Amino acid sequence: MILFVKYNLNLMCKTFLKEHLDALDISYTLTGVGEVYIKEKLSQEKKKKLSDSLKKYGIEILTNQKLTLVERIKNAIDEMLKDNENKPLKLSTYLSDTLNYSYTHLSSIFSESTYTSIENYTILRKVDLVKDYLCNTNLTLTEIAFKLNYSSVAHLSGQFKKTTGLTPSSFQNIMKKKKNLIPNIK
Amino acid sequence: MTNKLLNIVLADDDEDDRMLFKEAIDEINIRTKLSIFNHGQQLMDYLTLPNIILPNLIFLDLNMPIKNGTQCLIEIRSNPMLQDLCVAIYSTSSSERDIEETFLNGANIYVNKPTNFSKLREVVEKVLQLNWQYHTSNLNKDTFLFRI
Amino acid sequence: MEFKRVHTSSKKYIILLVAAIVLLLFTATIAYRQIMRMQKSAEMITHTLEVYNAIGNLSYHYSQADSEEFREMLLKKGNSSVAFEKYKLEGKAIMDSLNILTIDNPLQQLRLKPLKGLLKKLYSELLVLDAIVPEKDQDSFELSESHKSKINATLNNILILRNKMLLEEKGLLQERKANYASHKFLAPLTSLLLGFFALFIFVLSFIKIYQNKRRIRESEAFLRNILATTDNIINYYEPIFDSDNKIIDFNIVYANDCNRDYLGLEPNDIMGKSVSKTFPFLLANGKLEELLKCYNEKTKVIFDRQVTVEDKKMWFHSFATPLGEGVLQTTRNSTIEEEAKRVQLAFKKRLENQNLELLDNRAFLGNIFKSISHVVMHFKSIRGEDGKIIDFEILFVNDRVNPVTGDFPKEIKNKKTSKVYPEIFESGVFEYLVDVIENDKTLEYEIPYYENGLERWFHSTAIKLNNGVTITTREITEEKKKAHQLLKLNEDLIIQNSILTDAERIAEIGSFLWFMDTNTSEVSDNLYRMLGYEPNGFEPSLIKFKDFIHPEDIDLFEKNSNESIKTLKTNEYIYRIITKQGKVKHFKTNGKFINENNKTFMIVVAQDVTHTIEAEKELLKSNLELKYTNAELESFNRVASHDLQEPLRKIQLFISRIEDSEGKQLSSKSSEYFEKVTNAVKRMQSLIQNLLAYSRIDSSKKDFEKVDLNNVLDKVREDLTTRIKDAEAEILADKLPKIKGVIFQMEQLFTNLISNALKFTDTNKTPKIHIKYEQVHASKMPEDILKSTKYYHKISFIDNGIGFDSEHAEKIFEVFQRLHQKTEYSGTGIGLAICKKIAENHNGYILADGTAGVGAEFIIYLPA
Repeated sequence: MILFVKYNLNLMCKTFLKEHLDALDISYTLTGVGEVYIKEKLSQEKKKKLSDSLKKYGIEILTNQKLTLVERIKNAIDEMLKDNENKPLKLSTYLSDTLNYSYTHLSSIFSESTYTSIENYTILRKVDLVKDYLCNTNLTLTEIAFKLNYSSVAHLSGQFKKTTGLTPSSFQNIMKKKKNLIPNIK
Repeated sequence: MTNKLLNIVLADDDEDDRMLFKEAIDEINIRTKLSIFNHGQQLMDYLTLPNIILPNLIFLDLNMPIKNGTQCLIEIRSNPMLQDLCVAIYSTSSSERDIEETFLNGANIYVNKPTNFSKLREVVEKVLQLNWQYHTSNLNKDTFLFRI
Repeated sequence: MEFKRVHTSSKKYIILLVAAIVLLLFTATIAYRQIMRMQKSAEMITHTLEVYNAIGNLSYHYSQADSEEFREMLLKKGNSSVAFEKYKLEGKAIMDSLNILTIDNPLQQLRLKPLKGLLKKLYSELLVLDAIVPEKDQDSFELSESHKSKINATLNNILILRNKMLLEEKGLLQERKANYASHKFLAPLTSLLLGFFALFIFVLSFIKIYQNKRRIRESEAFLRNILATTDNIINYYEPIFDSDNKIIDFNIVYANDCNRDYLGLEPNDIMGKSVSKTFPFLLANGKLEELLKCYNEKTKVIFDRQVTVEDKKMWFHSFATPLGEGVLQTTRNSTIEEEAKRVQLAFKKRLENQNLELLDNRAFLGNIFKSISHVVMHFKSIRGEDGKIIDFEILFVNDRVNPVTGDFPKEIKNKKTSKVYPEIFESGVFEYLVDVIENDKTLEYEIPYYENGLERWFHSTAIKLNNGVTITTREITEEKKKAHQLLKLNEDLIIQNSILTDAERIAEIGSFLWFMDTNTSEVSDNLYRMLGYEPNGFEPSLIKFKDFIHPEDIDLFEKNSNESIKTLKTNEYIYRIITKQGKVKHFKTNGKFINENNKTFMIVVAQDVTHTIEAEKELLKSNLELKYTNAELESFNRVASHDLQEPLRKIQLFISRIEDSEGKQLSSKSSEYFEKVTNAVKRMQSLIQNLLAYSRIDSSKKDFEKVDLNNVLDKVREDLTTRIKDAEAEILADKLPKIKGVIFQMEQLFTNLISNALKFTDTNKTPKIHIKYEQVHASKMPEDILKSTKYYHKISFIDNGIGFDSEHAEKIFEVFQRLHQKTEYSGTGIGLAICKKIAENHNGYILADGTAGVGAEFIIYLPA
């Protein structure tokens, strides 16, 4: 038997965070973009406990200032891409508004620690979402293009091809075949 | 640079290719540690050693003596210890069949060996970047498929 | 029964009566008033006469004064005063009476006043006269005379007045007399007329009433007649109320004779009795409620009921109608109708059954026609003016006709044979059929029918039916053939027997018979020969035969023969024997057990298959060789795809490396050489890749699957997006079909053709590629193409590029054929060759057509 599941990573992380913070009896507020506001001062011991318990879920407590900011940028981009309603004006304006830093600053910090630019990351992220939609929904390319604020299907296809080296349809084809392979392997 | 060292592995039977690959990696502005193997069996022996630090990325040639790239790929994907490794196929073949087959066998990236050194550098850099993104961001590894 | 009610229209009569009374009252009043007026006229006349009389008295009175006697009397002394007083009173009485009489006449009254005055003057003058002494003297005389004249003058005045009054009264009298006379005439006349009028009305009324009465009596009689003669029970019921003023029952007020006829109830007996007692079944059926409803709601109620009277079942159909203060119930004996209905129903059912049976029969017949292998036809004859049959109309034909003639029954039904089967007029069949109809015969005939050069024989039976003929036809080609064969077989057998011996020798077949009961054997001549003997060269037996078996195969032989004897079944198997001369031969044997007259014998046929086995060995060897060749070819592919390309790639890589590092130090000449090397290598590489692609198109069809060419086109467009965009080309495509094929190859075919069109564009025009599709019949395709199916998909790629001269149309599909200079347009010259191979691999074709400077068209035909 194969179970097909769909999950929301964002929600999952938040749920884990909540559970573990609750377990350690820490009072907190989740701000939504990869930030946990802790009201009290955490003891080193508690901090280590929390860090250990979260690690196995791939949740890391960031200590580096720059990395924290990079994560916040990524989270902000994620939020923006997932928010279907408020298609923002411009990435740079959006990021500097959300994170309260100049875009140049954000951009240089980002490139410094990720080997890529914010723009490239956004494209990669968008393509990742397209892949997600292609695999897990019945949305057509037109619908996906609309959802992710592409000006046209051609634009989407072009960007997809440029980024992944595959056309959306051949990607979908491979994923379909892969899915069909699974029961044969097991 | 605050980023961690990237642990990269290359398995290729062609001496020239290995050399050029290393030169390309060295010219890229990403901190890496490259281990090179001459054929598939050598790679698999290394990967199944106890207590080794698993590489972040494996470049795998398809046409190799003793154990070819496809065999390695299948072994990696069926080994619970190794199955999460990122594998980039590094081959001369541009046949659609080969590409599809390796993707179906679990390859993440398919790289055609470029015919131009600067191109090679670009390609390797792009692969490293992609791999980096997939390791540091919330990207879906299930759909980690690229052809470069 | 008060049927008058039915006729009552009392209003009319009341109006008539009132009118008559009013008229009578009116006439009486008129008469009364007339009489009264007459009376009054009479009185008036009397009155006038009285006045007249009084006036007369008056005139007498004063005329007395005029008379001498009176005067003398007056002049007499002594009693003069008394007489005068008397006279005066008299006068006064007259005046009074006059006054009273004329009180209604103001004119006379007016006259009375001066009259009174005049009378008074008269009296006073008379007194004066009295006082004069009557002396016979002149004086006194004169005095008295003057007095006398005075009195006379007064009298004269009075006279004038009197005359006036008299005249007045005379006039009145005249008038009143006339009045009276008129009244006297009118009064009786009016009375008479009115009397006549009243009489007339009464007579009229009487006649009318009489007529009505008569009509009522007639209708009553009519009704009674109807009631007596109708075969409906007609009863009239009136409700019976209980103390709460609720209806508890009905009283039979009237019942007609039919009660007796149908129900055996004497009408006179039941009249006056209650319904519930007389018709108890009404209560039982709840029909009383129906009656109540009818009565209460004043509606018509219809009901049916079944009654059993004297063991007879009867049906009644009743109407209840409210009528007056009761209910009129009319009941019809519907027994016969119901019976008829039942009979009809039964009849209908039977009819339906019969219909069903008929349908069954028809279906059965239809099934027979469908399932039989005979063609059944029915022709109706069509006669010319001279009454001779000139043609037939096909009225019926079953489905079997289709496999024979290819016709469909529906299509040829009701058509003329001259249209559908004109050949019957030539083959003589028509004459047969005419003969059948005209002479009422049944004919059988056999005719050949030629189809696609094959001869087929049919046997037909024609039977006359009405004005037509029913033909039953069956194909006897096989029978005919068999009969023919049988004949031939007999002939052949004789020949064959004679050549069998020869044949055995030639075919290297030998046979032997083994009679199991006697354990004796018979061996054919050739078997002796096959074993290296002359015929009858040794005494045949099973044991002797075993001596020939190759020692290595003896076990196999014994195992097989033992099993055969046990099961009476034989297997085909091969074993080796050694001939008398010591030559090893391969024998293949097969046998059969035959049981005839309770004797079992085995026939064994042995064939020398030595040559075959050797050939098989040879084949196996060449197959193996082919396999090696294939493997070699495959490894060549590998070499080509990988090993051949590797060095090329290396060359490129190292050149680029040199250019990178040493580029600046190189002389311009060297740089140019380097570039030339790069181009040469690139070209070499693409050649290898294309050749590889060409060789990979294998002709094995195991990969065939359903391919939607629309999807293929989409994919190719997606792949070529950049190139299409760069060329600013427009691609128009019809809706394409789904075919059976290899997706990869189809993609390559489309890619190559579109790339080709994009490559050879005319720089002066916007590149346009139109992909047209239509399904075409094989006959519409070029003649020199071998067609394998009826229909083909025709897909054309039409561009407006530089085109080519159509004389090169075939050349361009050959490998390495290029129509252009290498430098002008890039390419290896394999693309179209690949297209051709792909098309052919799909059992299709590709053709090219073009006009230099106008455009090119590539047409693919794929089997539909």
